[in-house]
Amino acid sequence: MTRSSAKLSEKLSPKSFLDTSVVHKSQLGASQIQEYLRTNITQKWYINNYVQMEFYRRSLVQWIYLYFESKDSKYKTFGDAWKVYAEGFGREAKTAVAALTTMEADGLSFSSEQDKHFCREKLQDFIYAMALQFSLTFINTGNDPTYCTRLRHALKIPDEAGEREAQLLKFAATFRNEIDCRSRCSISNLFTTVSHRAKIDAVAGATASGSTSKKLQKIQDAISTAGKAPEAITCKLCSKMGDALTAVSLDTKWKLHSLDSVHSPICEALKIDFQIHPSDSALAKMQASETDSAGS
Amino acid sequence: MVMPAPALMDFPQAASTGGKNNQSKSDAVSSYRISGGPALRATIPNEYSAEPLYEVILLSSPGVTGAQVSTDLQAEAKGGNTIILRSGSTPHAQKTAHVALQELPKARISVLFEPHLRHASVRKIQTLMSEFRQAKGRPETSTIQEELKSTLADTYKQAVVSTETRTFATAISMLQDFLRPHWSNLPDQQLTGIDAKLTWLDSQRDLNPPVLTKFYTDLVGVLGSRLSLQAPTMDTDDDNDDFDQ
Repeated sequence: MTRSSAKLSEKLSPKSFLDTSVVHKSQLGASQIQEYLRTNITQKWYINNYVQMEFYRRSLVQWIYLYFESKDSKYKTFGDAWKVYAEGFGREAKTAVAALTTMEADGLSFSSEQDKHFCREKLQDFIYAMALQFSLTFINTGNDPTYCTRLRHALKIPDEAGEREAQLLKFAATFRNEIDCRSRCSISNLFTTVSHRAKIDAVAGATASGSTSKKLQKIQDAISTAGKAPEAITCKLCSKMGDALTAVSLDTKWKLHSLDSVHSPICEALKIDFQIHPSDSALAKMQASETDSAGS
Repeated sequence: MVMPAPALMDFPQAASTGGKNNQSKSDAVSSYRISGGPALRATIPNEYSAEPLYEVILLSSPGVTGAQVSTDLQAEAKGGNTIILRSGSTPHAQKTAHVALQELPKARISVLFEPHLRHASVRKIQTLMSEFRQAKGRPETSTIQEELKSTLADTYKQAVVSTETRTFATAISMLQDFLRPHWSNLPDQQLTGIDAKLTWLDSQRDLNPPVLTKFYTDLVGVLGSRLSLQAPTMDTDDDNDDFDQ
């Protein structure tokens, strides 16, 4: 293939848009799935502001909360705060902070009182390093139909190290002020403008089977509630239809990459190219069976 | 016994201004030639006695130091009512010092600790990486590897405690995050690449966010992967149920 035909082919083939599930694995997954995604999803990798917000909500914001929670002197060690956070704030928090155990591999102890300060600082470095990595790994299309405003303050390493904590506080304060953020976003337009409404209605009419059906039904219930009173949509309700909102921002130029099976009926309803990638366990099984068949 | 000096206004004018030209202005002032320059002698009269209250010897040359005062003067000072003063040297010395400071190249005045810590730490890490490279395949490989990990951890702890060195700590943290998944397999080429990036980091005048960004992208180029925290496996198919907030 010549260079010009390769360029033409690249131009004609749909661009890779990554759903939050893929973004999450590409950043925090095990090395096997990271390698799988690297080799199976065509670069460049695109996301939008909504996907970024979802990734931040799942991980970085949780880490910021833990960073400030662990500051309290009632926690003698960082591990004390980590356990309370992991066990007391649901599965999302648990999953988010699970990734932080890697700092023990770097010679810091969760159970040492002396290391509490160092663990917190290392956590701060994780937060900023992951934010930097995110900005360098993905290209933001700038096309977010909701115009979500929860990330309106950047999370970048400040010039002055002394400003880091203040910046984290400001970022978290903005992110968690849902009422203010909601007053600035345009989620209700999705239900009031004709072009968006058609896509939303298509998702609302999609069908699926098995376990995917249950997940799709939850999304459709949220869409139904939102459609009745668009101005009353909350961030919580918005998050319940996040998979649909990711997809409605796309057109035929894009291919949606997801690990979530619910994107299959959604993308079919929207007539968008898509690919559902295997989860960690499915990938492990696939690789095991490939090894078996190669050995026999 | 050396007594406290009386107020300066009590000095004969010549004595207070000093210098050879004033010698003839007062009979009470006479000149001594001692090593290092001239000295002026003044007497402070006593209202109630013919004996002078104090005898003051003013060493007016800037070159005269206490060590140069002659034995005779020392003996006189021990005598009781004699005060030996050295004058004129302080203003001159201040002027000299001022000029000297202005002449020093500013770049050589180090008021920062961070570059020194960075330089010493990078050298130490590079030395261990070199030893690690040479020891490959030998029994001590894992020991040096642990030493290297420990040095990175110690360097991080050392750098993180001060605001001035905080950014360097972030650079070390990045290096730890990058190396973590690679410890079991670090080819020579990657070690050489990391060594070069550390040299570059050491050569930077200031560690600021753009330098950290370049350090990050350079490490991606060398190691071929990004930061990895490797969260435990979870079944993504049901993830979103719990991500609603």
